[in-house]
Amino acid sequence: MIILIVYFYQSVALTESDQDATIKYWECRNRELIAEEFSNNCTMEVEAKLLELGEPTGTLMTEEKLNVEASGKSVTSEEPMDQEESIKRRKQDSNNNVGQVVTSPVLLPAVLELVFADMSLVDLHNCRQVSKLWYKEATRTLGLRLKIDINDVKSIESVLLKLKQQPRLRISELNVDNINLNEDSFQQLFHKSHLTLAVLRITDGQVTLANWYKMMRKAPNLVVLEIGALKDGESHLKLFPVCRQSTHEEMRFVHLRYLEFVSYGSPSSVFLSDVIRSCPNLKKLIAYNFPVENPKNFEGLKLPFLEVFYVPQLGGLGDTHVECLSKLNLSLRELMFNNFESELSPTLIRKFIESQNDTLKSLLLTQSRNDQDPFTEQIPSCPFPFKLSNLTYLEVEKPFVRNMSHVISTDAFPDLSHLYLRFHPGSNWVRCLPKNLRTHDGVHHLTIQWIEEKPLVQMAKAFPNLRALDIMYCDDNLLRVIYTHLPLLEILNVEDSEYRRITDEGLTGYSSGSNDESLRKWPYVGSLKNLHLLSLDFKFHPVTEKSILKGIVDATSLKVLRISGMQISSEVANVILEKLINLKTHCMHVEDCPMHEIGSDTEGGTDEDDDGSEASVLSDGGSELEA
Amino acid sequence: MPVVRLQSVDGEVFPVDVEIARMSFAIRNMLDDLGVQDNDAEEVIPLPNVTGPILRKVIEWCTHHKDDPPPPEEDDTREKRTDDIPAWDQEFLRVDQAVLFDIILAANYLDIKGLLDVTCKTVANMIKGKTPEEIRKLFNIKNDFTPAEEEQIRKENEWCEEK
Repeated sequence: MIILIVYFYQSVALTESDQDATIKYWECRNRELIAEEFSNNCTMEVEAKLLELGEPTGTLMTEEKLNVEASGKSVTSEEPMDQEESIKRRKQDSNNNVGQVVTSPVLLPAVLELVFADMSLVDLHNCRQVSKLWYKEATRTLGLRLKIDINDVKSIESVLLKLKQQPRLRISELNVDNINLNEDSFQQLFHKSHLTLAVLRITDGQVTLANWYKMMRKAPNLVVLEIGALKDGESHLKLFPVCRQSTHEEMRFVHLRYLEFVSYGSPSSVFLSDVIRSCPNLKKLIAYNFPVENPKNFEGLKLPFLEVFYVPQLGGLGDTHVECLSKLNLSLRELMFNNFESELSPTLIRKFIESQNDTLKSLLLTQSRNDQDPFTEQIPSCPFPFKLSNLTYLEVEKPFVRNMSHVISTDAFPDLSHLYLRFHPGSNWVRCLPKNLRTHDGVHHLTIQWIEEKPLVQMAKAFPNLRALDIMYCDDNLLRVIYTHLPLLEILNVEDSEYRRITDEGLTGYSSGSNDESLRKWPYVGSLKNLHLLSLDFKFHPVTEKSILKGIVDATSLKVLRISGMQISSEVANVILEKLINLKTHCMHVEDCPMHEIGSDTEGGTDEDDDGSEASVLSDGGSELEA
Repeated sequence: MPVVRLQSVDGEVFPVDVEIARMSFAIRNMLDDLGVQDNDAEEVIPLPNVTGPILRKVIEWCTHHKDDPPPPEEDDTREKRTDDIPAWDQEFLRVDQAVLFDIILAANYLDIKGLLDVTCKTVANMIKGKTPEEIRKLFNIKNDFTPAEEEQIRKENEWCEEK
């Protein structure tokens, strides 16, 4: 009997050394496979996002990080390695246990690996918080979850092949360009990723209702779902409810936090009540459109965690929509409505908006415009005046602003800091501006699409603490108002337009053709002594580069400079960099060197840390210009 | 049918059909390495990590599953869920947590893949929807994080909450 045991352990030892050799072989092989990976048109990467976000900063996780990287490597290995590694780990476990009694299998890495293998992302994240060992093992499991972008049938097939070769891999995120692909392979992919799929984005395509249900049944643990214009034949797909095949009971996607969908047209429209029943724990809902329903369908429904609700393309917000929403007892942080019907009861919508008073920070009221025929536009119902004591951001389209004193009011919006006025060329400013407009000390950021000089002077007076200004249709005259009436401005974003021009004169203050300093006729960019971010976007009429130089050269506080729509020679760029010693980030199109940049956005961003909204202006502008 | 005799740590001996015993890869390797012939019915294989009652359970499971086909490659017809544990197994595993854990340890030690899979799935189902503290309490696991480390991990996890 004793001999038997000795034999047993010897055989283990032998296989282990063999395994080491095999593992080395597979590691070499891996490098070749990684090289091949680049020529592959499907992007398949270890769940980089999760790992990035989970980037450990403390000393605790250094070891774990290494382990994740190691397991990430095995992602490109093939089956033999896969199985052998598992076996090895299991044997290591039992060897480690010689002489000590492990009473709990949930302390064995090999067991945890199996327990975690098909676990939903949410549960897995909870497991990471249990203990150091669990953190390590759950993080390793996350490393085996893939984020996959699919653009064509070929990329599906290569993903399927990889999953077959490496049975430990799972899919956690699937981004699909167009679903008009081979549906069979697609179904297979869903089958393989079943419980672990957390993020699904489909841009558009065709899928039958039956197949949609089939897919969704295999993705019960989704956290994020974004569906573009997905159609079944001619009509948009009715996304919810999804019923279980066996019991026909409606499935509930309890982990789903973020849902965005596009859907138009009956009878296949997605009813909001179905969405709410299917996804009761949503935090963010972007419903491009939803049809009118009987408010009775909303009895007893709740979305207790919903914070952000956007309805960007509603055909028309009517009384029934608002009645339905009122039944949900929402506590929203951000709300967006588009397209109010003219018959919508102002009292009803006002009451709904004010019911969000305790939580609402950000409100967007917009109205789609018919640019071809602006005169036949119906005048929408107007919810103003109303009060929201915690509101910090208000974006509002001209038709809703019949009296500016309803918008600029410390009484109605005491916490307001950023106001966005969506006025358009031709919007009548004069009629909505009362003569004795009150001031609002809290607003320090103003965004205006279109304005004239006199109203801009009034706006400048209304916001004595304004520090950031964006104007989309800007010209020389408006710039002069800014230099004169807003000398303390710190952030300025301007764009020109087809008919409104920013010229050399507007930037430099010299009358055209003159270079003499004594002949400067008007204030210029350099008059803004506190300016630290300047963004000039020449969409139609670029200025000369010398005027840029002359205009900004005295703006010594400038830290961030973005110029787009024109080219700057490297000579001028160098002079700018020399003169503006505070400049940390710039983004301009320098000759021979497209998008010449120094510093980084984040560097610039941290400088703005004293004020969150300024930082966001910076990053928004950056992505726009660099795109 | 040829038989091997498995001996638990507490000395109980179980005669088992070779085919059933070979569902354990550990025993299969042992038999293969030793070149045990079918007629060596007197051979006793000691299993120093498994108690009699647990070995009985394990043998019961292996006996029930001895004719299982190997898992199919593509299985698109069935809806796969964590609770897709066969009814017999669910009934079989309706035991104390201590017994379940012993079965997992035995399945791990004896290397019986099917049993390990189904027991681990059971554990995964027990974890579903629980908070970290509830999981610790359930499995009697010590929280060895410092408060700062706990906070750090919570921040990392915000992703699936905040999105």
